[in-house]
Amino acid sequence: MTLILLPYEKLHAEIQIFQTDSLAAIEEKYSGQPFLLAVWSIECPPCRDELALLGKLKKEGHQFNLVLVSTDNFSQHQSLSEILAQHQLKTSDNWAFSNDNYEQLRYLLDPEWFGEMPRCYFYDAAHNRRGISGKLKAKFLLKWISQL
Amino acid sequence: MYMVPDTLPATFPEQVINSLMRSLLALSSIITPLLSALLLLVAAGSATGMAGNAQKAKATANQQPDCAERISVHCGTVPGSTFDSSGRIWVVFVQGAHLYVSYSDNLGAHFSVPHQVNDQPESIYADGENRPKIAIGKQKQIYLSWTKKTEGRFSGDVRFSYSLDQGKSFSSPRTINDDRLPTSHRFDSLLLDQLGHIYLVWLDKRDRYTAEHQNERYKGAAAYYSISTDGGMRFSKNIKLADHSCECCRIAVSEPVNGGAAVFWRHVFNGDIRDHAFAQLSSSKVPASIQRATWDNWQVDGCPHHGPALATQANGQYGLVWFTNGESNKGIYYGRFDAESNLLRHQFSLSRSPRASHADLLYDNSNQLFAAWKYFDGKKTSIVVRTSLDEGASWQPEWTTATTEGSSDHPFLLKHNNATYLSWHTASEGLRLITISSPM
Repeated sequence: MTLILLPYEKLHAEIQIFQTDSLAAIEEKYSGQPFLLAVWSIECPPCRDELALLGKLKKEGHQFNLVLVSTDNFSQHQSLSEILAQHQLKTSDNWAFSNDNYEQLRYLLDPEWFGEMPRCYFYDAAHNRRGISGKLKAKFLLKWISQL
Repeated sequence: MYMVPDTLPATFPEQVINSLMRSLLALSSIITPLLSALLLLVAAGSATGMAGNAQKAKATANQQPDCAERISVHCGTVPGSTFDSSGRIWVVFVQGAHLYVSYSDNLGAHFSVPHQVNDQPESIYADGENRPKIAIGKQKQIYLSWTKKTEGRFSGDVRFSYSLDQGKSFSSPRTINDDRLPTSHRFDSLLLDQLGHIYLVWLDKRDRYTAEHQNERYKGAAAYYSISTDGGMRFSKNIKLADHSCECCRIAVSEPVNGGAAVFWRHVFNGDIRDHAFAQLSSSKVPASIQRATWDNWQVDGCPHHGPALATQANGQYGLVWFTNGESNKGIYYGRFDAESNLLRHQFSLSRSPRASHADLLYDNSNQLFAAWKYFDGKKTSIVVRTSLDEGASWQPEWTTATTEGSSDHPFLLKHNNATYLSWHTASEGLRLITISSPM
């Protein structure tokens, strides 16, 4: 028998498990509101740049609904939490893929997405969404925010 | 090593623990103010018993072994398989902080007790694109490469070990990158040519590291390589192959008809175009010259994490398969590349589906060309195969050769004598060696 002591702080990452019904739950939460859903991964260097940009915009006081979904297994939530904290994004609406079946969750997120990252979905108030692959530019994001 | 029957995993302790963690997280959101610490009692031998009825029922139904107490090609991750000349399949895989080697003399029906390679535990990169490699020499020398995680963001060292006694013992792992910088030296590929020369090629951020410390921008990574001409005792100094490779796609390698190493990788061309470059390495001509091999003009400042595959034709040309997502070309493509004329011919769309991924390519001994890739249909993942009898000028209809309902690794094609095999590791079925026979 093994005793493992897990301090509460380490468990309390602000990350939810992204499962088969999670996209619907996110869309429901932001019903009638525009939001940005950004997909990232630990092993994606350009994603870090994008997180840094999003964190900077939040820190500067720009108001926009931000949902961050990591495609890494939720079992890595400690690392994910640390990265999000580095970019002042720990208190955003953060999710990480469930440990099982990456393909299915990717498919549910967007059946037309090839898996490249970073990948962002700009939802308007009616929840028409536009998917964009690759690192976003600050100018592009600021324009979107200004039109909200 | 001795042979034991090896059965398959389905219920992994980490999944059990994760399940428990999820329950605790849900609970913690309700009783947050009351909790300063959570004490978990985990009985290693009875972890399944704590996991709830569903997990318990699954374990019982499948009569699966407990992977917490078992080192196995099925329980481990990212297995890499290769045949030796006698038809024995050698497999390298990662489990915990160790690399293991096992073999099978009956096409994967049974595997030997795995032999641990690294005595000292180390963190090993083990994902689809960045995974250990294995090559077997003519005297059954075993050569291994992998990437060790080191301190820092995206950092790693390329590691190498060999065995001269058919896996009974392995040399102490050594680091091949020679710059000692705390940066990324990862995504190693290994090739052993007919002369017995060992080529290691990897993605390297030493130049980016230096540039950034001088406040200069550096796009992507670089590709570096090193060669051993004495069976892995010594390696050459590191040689730069190219600046500005893509950062996290596997590097494809194949032996040219006259020895050396052909290399095919995703590169960052001017304007953030992430198409592919090609080079032929040899121990006598350093450095190698770089050629652009694919022209889809995929412009993206992002991470495809989806590297190519390469196979050498008997006439000295090369079969290429790759993924792109350009304006017009999307999905998995094949092309025949002539390095002498620098021409890509017969570019052919194997699949335009976003659910198709990670293709491999192989010429069998009668010069039939096989391409295999993953396809997810919304519920299950299959391995789709297409063949060509005219070196890619035309392709037979596709067919499905294996399926799984859970998560799965990339597919890999192998050959021995006149047969072609799929090596595929899946969460539900473990590692399978599947004979690929055309349904026609």
